[in-house]
Amino acid sequence: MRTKYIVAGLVIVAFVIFGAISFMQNNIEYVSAKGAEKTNRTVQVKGTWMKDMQSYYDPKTNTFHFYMVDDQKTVLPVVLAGAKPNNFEIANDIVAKGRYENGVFQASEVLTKCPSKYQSKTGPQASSQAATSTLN
Amino acid sequence: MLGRVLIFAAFGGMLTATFAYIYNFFTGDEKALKVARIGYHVGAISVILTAGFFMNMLLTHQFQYTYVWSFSSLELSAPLLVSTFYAGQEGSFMLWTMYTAIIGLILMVYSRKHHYESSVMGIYSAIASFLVLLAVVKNPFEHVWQTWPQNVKAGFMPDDGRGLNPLLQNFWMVIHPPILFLGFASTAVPFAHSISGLLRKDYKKWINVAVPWTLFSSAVLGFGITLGGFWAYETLGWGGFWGWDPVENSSFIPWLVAVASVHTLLVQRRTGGFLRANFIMGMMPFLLVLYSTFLTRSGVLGDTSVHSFVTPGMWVYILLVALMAFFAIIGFGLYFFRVKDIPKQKINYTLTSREFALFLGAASLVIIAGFTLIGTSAPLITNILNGKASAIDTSYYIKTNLPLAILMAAMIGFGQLFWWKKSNSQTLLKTMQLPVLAASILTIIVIFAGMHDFSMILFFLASAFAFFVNLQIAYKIAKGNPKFMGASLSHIGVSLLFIGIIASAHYDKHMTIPLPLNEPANAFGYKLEYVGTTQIDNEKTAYNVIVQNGNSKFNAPLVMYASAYNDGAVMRHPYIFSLVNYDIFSHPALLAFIGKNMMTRDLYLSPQALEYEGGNRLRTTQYGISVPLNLNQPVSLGKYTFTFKGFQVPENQRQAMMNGQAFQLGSLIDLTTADGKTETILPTNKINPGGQTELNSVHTKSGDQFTVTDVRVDDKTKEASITLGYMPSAKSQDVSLLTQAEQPQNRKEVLIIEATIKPFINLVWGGVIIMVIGFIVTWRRRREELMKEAS
Repeated sequence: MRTKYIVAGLVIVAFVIFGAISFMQNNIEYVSAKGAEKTNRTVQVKGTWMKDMQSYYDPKTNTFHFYMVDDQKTVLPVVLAGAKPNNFEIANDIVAKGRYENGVFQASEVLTKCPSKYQSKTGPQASSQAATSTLN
Repeated sequence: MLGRVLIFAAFGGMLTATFAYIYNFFTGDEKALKVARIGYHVGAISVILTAGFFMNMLLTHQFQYTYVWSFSSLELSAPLLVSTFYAGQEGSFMLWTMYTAIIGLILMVYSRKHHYESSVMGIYSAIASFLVLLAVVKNPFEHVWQTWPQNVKAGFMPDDGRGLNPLLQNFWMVIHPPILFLGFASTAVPFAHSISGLLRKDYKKWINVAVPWTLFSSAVLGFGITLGGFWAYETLGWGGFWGWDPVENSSFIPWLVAVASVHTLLVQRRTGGFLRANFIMGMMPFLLVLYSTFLTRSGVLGDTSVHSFVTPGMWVYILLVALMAFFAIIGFGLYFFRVKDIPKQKINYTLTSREFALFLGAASLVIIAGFTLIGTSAPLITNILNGKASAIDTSYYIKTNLPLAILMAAMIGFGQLFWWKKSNSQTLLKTMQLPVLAASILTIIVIFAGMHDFSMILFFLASAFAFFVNLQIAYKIAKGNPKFMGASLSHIGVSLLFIGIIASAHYDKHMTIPLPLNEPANAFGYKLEYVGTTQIDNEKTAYNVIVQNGNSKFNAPLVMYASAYNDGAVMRHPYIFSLVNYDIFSHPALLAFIGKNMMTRDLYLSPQALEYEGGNRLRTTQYGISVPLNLNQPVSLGKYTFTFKGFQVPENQRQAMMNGQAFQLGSLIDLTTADGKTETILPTNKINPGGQTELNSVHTKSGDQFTVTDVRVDDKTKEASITLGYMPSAKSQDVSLLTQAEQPQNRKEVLIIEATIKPFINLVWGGVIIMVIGFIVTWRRRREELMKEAS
């Protein structure tokens, strides 16, 4: 009877450790642009898109190239695997997920944070004005 | 006003029912039972009327209501207008509440028949009361002037609503949420039965009454989740059917535990084991639905997911926490209070008993649910540990769940081969022969076909084994009594699903293909040609790609547009050549084409971007065309070749720079023209101590203007680079560059698409459908058995 509990306990402990290690390994930390340059782990960098700098899509590699700047004003060149993300033009903030390699941030995903994605802040009047202006 | 009154009536009714039922349970007072029944009927009817009233205001376009204005508009078709009912948070809670109320009416009759009414309905009414309370706290009948008192005058009636998010405007929106919410609502029934069992000290028989409901929840939730997966695959263009997104996970976790409880309840029926654990298993699906709702609806996940989570306000947050805590404390509290009293049945199961296989299978389901739960809660966990919320990479889920899935697949096979208590090893070996042989042959074939990843081979072998074992058994049962086929059908479905997952998610092939207008390209044996656009409505554009194979040619309209509703976000909808393609009705020839090419694999075409030949590399600012320049790397543009030679700080400025005062920084740039003449310019910027820069433009003799708009020094490499603004003089031919930068229309369009081959994805859909049918077959059989017992 006791051995059964010990075996069950050990199995549970093994799973917990396995889960915890996987969790730590795959947890994507938020770091600054400087922090991203120092590590080869997959991290997230929050910042804004530098609209005045060069940005383009390269169809040969299916990558989108742009520059972002973080809160500490560090400029980070980003190469995103994929096309220009949704909401890119109007995003207040962007979050790039990936790792720093050979002088650029190789992003696997770029999330865009928009002021009001699914909820209106202004209410109906503002929007009905907008509707009439497009009709004119 | 009427809506508010109805909500309060519903709350009053449900609360009365709760207390009267509980009073009746403890005292046996018949009068209280009558009051409780009336109370519940008042509550349920009020909820249904509230929902009807709410639906009516949507159907009649009463835009003075915030909800109607926020989620609907005049242009929506009737089915979509109906679907706006649950497009927002208040509405989806109301749908859940309405299902709960209606299920309760059935449950009342059901539990009365089985003599559990007061305890089951007492708990159930408490759940319903809490759900109604959500509508009390977050009024679904708010007027626009109450929501935006600064912007909107009282009594204002908008002409039209904001409309439904275009991402939601499709058939799946009409069908997926109602089914999923029915599944969510139904988990409250096993919960109520579990508590009722503990209250009554009825430790054994409660499960007979609860099992049909658990099966019902499993079937409905499973079907609902699959529809969501199909929606993501077919319309949203996520590229797959599962993304481990919090919203997906939040319905997946309760389902896994519900399915696990189907198995542990079965063990109790057959052997009397798991008496204690089954109380927890009966409670968990509902508690997990509450937790998942809290995760996805309270705003705690914040900005860590692609889904946008609106913070619903403090009261809803508190209420969701209270709801979760209240029922968890009641459930676990009562369990620990009673646990000593619950008899322990000693079961001596051997390693080759069906009990043991069922236990391992159920345990893997629960642990998968646990790992998924922890991953989904990562933002919450990291927020507590590090003070900063961060999500987890989706590879976490695959890494942790894959070994368990392999174990589960093996148990799906062995569980059906083993006998209760102990298996006879000779018969076992005999029945195993055929499935093992078939699975091994199939595995060897796929290894030769290119499967080399060891864990995938193992997963495939286990799944194929499970498939053949259950096929063999299903065949035997079908010859005898097909009513008993449920379990084998479900297991066949799950094995097929596993094989479909392995093939479509791990052995899919991607290609990114640039398609210049009218220039065909080849991909996976198909000729693809972008032939132009069709305007679908004033927002949506279809980019038509002709797909050709042999003599058959079909148009794939790939839809991509900037959605005004989503503040200009780009929406992309794929086009899929698959067995599930509605265009076969309008193009009969397509059926033959799909039948020939898409039986075992889908061709998934997804639009990525519309570019212009040569790329969109030119950007303009008020200083002209932006030219990024790295040190000593010439860049040619228009009539010039630009070379950045380095920075220059004039003598008289150096002291200022050293002292950290404002100073002038010059950038030395060579301008070389085609005839080889080089002119050197030195535009300067005044760098202020605070970091702000003042730009000074310089002009050449020909009238071109140059401004350095940005200077940078790489922290690591110390390499300098600048961005030069080039504004050509009005007389220069380079003026055309400005228009070219802004209006790329005069260059050739290039449609960038991603083409993917998804092998055997039909096994995913087919497998799930077979699995759900299996659940329904078993559910019906258990109900019939129960009817017989009761009568």
